[in-house]
Amino acid sequence: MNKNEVHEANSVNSPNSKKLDIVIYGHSIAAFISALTIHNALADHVTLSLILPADQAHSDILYGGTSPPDAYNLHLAMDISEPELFQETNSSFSFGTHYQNWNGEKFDWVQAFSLPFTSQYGMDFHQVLLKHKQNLQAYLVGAQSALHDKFAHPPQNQPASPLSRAEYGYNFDYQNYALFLLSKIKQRKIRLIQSDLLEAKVVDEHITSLRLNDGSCIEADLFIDCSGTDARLMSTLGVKKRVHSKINLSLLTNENDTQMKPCNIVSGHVNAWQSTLYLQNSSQVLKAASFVDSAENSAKETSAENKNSANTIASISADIGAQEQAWVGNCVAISLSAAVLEPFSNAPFRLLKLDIERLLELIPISNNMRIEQKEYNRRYRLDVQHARLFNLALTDTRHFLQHEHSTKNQFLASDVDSDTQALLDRKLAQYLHRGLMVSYDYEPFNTEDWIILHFGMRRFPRRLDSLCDNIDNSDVKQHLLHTKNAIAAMVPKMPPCSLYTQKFLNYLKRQS
Amino acid sequence: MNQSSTNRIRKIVIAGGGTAGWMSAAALSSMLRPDDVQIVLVESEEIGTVGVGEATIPDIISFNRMLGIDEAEFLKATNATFKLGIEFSDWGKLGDKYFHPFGNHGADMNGIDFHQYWLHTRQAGNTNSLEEYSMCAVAAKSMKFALPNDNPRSLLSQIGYAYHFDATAYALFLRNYAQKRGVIRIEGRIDQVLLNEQTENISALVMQNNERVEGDFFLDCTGFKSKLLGETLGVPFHDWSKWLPCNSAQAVPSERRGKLLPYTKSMAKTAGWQWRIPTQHRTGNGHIYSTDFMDDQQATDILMQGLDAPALSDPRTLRFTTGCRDKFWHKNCLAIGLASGFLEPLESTSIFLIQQGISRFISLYPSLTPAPKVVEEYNRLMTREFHQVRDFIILHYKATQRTDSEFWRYCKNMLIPDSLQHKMELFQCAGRVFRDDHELFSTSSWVAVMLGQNIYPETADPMLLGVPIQNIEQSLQSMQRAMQQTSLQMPTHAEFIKNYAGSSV
Repeated sequence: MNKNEVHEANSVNSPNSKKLDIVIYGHSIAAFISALTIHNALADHVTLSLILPADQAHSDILYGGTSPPDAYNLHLAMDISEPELFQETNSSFSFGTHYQNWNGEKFDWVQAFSLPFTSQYGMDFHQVLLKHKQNLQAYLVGAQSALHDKFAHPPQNQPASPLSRAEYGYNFDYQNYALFLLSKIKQRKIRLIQSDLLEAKVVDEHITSLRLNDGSCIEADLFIDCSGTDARLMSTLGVKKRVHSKINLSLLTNENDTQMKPCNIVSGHVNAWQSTLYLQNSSQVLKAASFVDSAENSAKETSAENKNSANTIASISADIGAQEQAWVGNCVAISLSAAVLEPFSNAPFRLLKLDIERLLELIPISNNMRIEQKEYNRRYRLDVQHARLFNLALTDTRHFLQHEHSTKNQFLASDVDSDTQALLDRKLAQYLHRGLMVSYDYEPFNTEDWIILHFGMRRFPRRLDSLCDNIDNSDVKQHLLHTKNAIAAMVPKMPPCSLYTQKFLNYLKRQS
Repeated sequence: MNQSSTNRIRKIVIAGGGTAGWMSAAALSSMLRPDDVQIVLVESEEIGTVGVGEATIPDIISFNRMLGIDEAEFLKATNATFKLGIEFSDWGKLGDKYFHPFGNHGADMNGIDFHQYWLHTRQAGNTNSLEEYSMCAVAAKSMKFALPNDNPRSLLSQIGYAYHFDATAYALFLRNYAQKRGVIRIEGRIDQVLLNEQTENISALVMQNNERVEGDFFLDCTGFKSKLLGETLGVPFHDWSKWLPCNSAQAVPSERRGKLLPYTKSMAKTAGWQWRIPTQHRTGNGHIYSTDFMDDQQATDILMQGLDAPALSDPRTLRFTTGCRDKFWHKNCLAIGLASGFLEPLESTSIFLIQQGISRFISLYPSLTPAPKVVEEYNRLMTREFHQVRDFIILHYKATQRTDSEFWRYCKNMLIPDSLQHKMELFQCAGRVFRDDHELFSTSSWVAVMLGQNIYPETADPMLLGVPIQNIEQSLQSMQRAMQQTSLQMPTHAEFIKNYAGSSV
């Protein structure tokens, strides 16, 4: 297609009568999930090809090997069941992330997944806990189970069971998980082109074709960049990326570790942290070190040490930041090709899911993709910004300082634009003032996530909601005690995570 | 962690009665103990109230529930009827008619909005309108009503409803409620508003009889005058007339005749629109118009010609400017209702905006010296609310094909806010609805108005292209049949009110 033809295509906004030709480029978790979900949702509307370079993008370690409860639905959208995931990979259950000695202030809590809190007192549950000076962790069955290495599936039809309030996600090995997804792709009618990119031809911010190293030339209506942090397609379109910080990451494995905790453990602080992940029969440690110019050498040395270790699976350096636009012309960048957040939370996987949902909702209907592009980029920017707020809140310790205004930003290691800073400040200030939860449009992390985070980071409001004075405290005390005791009594009776997983696998084996 | 007793608000003064004033008084009196906070409301019988609303949206139910008001008692006291939505006529084109129902259209399937399925079958020849798949619209057309059912399998669970009522009677009802809970009413006209020279906070109201009413915090419910926030504290007003050019209203009650409608009627006219709102004993009528395109006498003629029964009085004329204050809360003063801004009652949002103002204030209830962060958050949320409602109302004017008058040609060609332009373009593309988590109007509402006013997407969601059309058609047919069956079994609106509230209508 030459330049004139591109203009012509853009000026016509009539729906395509022919199938939309989509090409995904990348050997990555994002590429495989994109291919499977698009194939399942739009098989009759699109022809789908996947260009598969030889090696998996190492930037996949930037998912941190953790996924939130929503991963279950994402798998269903790919026709992948939980039993398949457990039988064919070494994935494990997770009730959340245990932050240990976090942030130099020695914060310690389990950022557990939870269903919405219920309150019978006409006011928010967290306000009631604050009023009675209660530790939220004692009321989170997921947190208590994680601390005791226990796991069981939350029951579906037993609302009286404390466990029914818990939610769980998965821990996964990025290579193992990618292989599993690739095997599913091979079972679908998705055209697989095993080759690498030599060059992308671009006219007027539109990719007209991709030249591959096997000599072939691939054209398409829509290109999806899933090449990871290299962003091979997006980089040809001249999109600006805003870089907040730089990071070195190494992933080490500890074979034959059978501890199987139903969470990952994150410790350290914003500039150097590590996450330990427990899988079936092994564990992995992701070590991260941020660097600015002066610290670059020492961070690289640490990284080099890890690289030389026999246990090291992968080491990479990455820019933490986001493309200003994730959809340019006829190219959409998904997940790490568009935005990279530090995986000390599960924000990267949440953004991956949001990217795919957004794309499916806005799949173009003609060659003029202006409207879809505009809406996609609007949502993308908000989603990335809102996910980043959570990560920033995980590292913001200003509430520990007396003169917060004079030392503003002291604890923020990365470059924060004024808009994001204002959104974060509003959230934190409103909470610290009187426990008010400020929320923005469709945040990736919900109110419960934020409340657990605030309690974990020991953010306590200066005053309570005035309505707290109107509730009958003796009743409330009794009810709180009952709730707490029910969890405390149930958790010891739950099976150890490793035993439960083993029995679950045995059961699946018998069933199959 | 509790605020100290010295930094507590001890006295709240509400300036102005009417719907806004008494809703505020009732809500605050239900939350605050009279021993802790004294609530005083100042109003004058001499000053008429605008009587905002009369038609409402479903959120009013939660407001009444919050106050613990018995629904049947409320219906009796305010001559209320039920409302299942709004019927719009002549908006897209002369002769057009569509229904904006409460509740959803059909049922979303496989994570895809119902209207996408309907669009898909329409392209294959389905001639049924979207509203034939709305339980509220189907019931409304048959003049039927029933309360929603808790069973999600029942089609009645899809019923969403609000009320039509006599707003003056509602204010009186809430006045009794509030006074029983310790609210003190002071009769008289406000002559002066005094400021504290140091803090520039309002310190007192001086009545015409020289009585001083002092307070820690003041609610401005003085209507369009905005005597406290606008006149005294000088908070500027943002004028949105370029997008919503109507600036006048004439209202007149008429006898109620014929079957009792369970919906509001909104009929587009030459330079505005006319409403018809049925209460139990009379029908409320009004004509909203722009004096830039029509004089008052013409407006009166149109209003009177549009009545379906004899008028009970002469029309009353009101002037207004559409827009809102730059801030809703400034210093120790919060404006509620018309004192904070005005958006024409095309989607019955006036009482909702009052309700939002009050409930936000309660959730951000301040100390004696309100923290700037609290005030800022309140203003942010209320500004967003006004902007979202504004955009939805502008949509009705912009999405017209009418060219039969200067007024409609202006609306058709006017520039609109970028936010709305984007929403319209997005819908036109493939029926996709702009996503906003906190928006009052749901996807279903946007879809009803856009399709009702002939914005038809070029195609349905591509995700449906692989689903066999016969399967979708079958689902839609059985859904439609079930709704008609359910409607047949429902009592008429009049019968329901008679049985439920004991009123004969």
